[in-house]
Amino acid sequence: MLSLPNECSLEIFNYLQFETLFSCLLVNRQWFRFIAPILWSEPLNHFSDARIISIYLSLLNAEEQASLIPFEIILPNRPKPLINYANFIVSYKDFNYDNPIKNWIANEGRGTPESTNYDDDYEDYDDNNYIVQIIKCSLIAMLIRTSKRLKFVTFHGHDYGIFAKNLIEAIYRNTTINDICLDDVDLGSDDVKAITDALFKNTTLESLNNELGAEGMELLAVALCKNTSLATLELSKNQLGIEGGKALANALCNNISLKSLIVVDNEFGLEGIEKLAKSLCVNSTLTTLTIHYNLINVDGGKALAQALITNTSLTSLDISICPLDGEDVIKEIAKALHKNVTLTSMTIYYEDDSEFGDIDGSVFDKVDDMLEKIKKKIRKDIQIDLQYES
Amino acid sequence: MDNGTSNSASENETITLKSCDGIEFHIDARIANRYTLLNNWNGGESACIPNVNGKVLEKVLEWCEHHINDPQLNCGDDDSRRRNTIIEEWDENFLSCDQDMLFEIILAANYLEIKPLLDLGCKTVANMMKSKSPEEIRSAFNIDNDYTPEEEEQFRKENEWAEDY
Repeated sequence: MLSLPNECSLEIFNYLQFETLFSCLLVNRQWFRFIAPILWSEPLNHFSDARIISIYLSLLNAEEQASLIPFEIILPNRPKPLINYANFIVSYKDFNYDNPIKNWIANEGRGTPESTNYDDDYEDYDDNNYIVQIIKCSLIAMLIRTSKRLKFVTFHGHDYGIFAKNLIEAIYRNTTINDICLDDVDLGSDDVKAITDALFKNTTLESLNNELGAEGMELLAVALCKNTSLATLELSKNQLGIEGGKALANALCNNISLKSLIVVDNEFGLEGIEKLAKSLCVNSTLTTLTIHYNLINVDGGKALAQALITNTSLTSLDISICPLDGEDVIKEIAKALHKNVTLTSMTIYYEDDSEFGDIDGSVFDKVDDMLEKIKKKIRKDIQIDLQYES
Repeated sequence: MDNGTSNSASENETITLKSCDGIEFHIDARIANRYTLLNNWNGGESACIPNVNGKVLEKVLEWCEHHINDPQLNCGDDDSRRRNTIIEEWDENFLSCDQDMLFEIILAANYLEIKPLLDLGCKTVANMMKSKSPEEIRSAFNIDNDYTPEEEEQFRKENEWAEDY
């Protein structure tokens, strides 16, 4: 347009609000090609608009429509869009779809218009939620099938149940997604198996929250030993336990691609922590480890500190200590930091903040003093933070 | 006075630039220091800046001269939509030239990698479109409409949600 190179045109459009972008879209065909991908890159992340749902629903294929038929959902009666707008979506965020779908159902989606007050109508609540979920699953299946640019998907909540497998299969077929976040989604071991299979492809599983458990971890660990592309893995609050910790440690000994591992609150216990500490002596690719709130007692803390003597890849480490034996762990850390040269930042959490009231304040002062000394005398280049609250 | 810029050149040093149509400009060396690409054509004797004519280069250098003491920006927070479109008064006057010149300046700023001037030019064009109808934008920039009426109507319907935001 305007005889400017494309990058300048895009730069100009980036300054515009949607209202003006809408005008620009209708200027001519060339401008449409610029604007449509901007408007449709992640519209529902910005606006909770039923009209967007309506357009997306008109893009479902026969198979995706079929799953809606038993629920008396009346699909939009409109000509098929001139352009497949689903092509342009770059990220799917589950929680942004609920309200616009509810609005769409209220406006046009179902035969009974009286059930429009979704805020008050608790009787229908479960039923409606289920319908919303069904529609959402059809939409995401369509988006994953269609989009050429989808990079990031995040699922949230427990309601996927029977759909989980289909979705994971769809993700498996997609070749553009590189970031998946499964937050609080219930997964059976079959689904974990499907995810681990998907891991062999070039996929970044970012976060997997809720009840993966030791068994799930063992499956995942097998995949991790062979996977060579995954760089970030977040497995916080997965109740991995001692056995899960051991499986993860084993994976760390073999894996050569993981750079960042976040495993907050997994009840690894002393045995799990010790194995993980040992794996850090073998692993030389991991640079970030976030492992606080794992019932790390004084021996676990010491084991992790000692791993820093041998390890040469970690640059960032988050651990937790108990107030009462914090001093001993910090002493060990101080010793290790004499030898370690790679670590640049460390955050130390207090493991159990509920009993702070009973503890003599001087305990905390001592830890503060020791950390100050480390910063001044041992390693001036290291950033150490102390966190009192979760 | 130090304005936080890392200019190593002293105040009196000058360099010579030549436009593609052979017009020479002697500029404060600190300008070339800020926008590294300008340094490439320093010397003037044989080298000249391709693609930028004297009229445009004069404007570009006038802008650089005026902003010589601006703090250097980090090119970090770049991609966020809804960036502010506020333009300082001097810049606004500077760019209230005819449209051809405005686009020439944008092209030159892009070519010479003078990012703040490029941003400013883009912002100015964006402000010219703000809250206008498609027809008003077409006439402001002299653009032909190649949609069929049916096509335009359907695209309007499919995207009308965006109009409300």
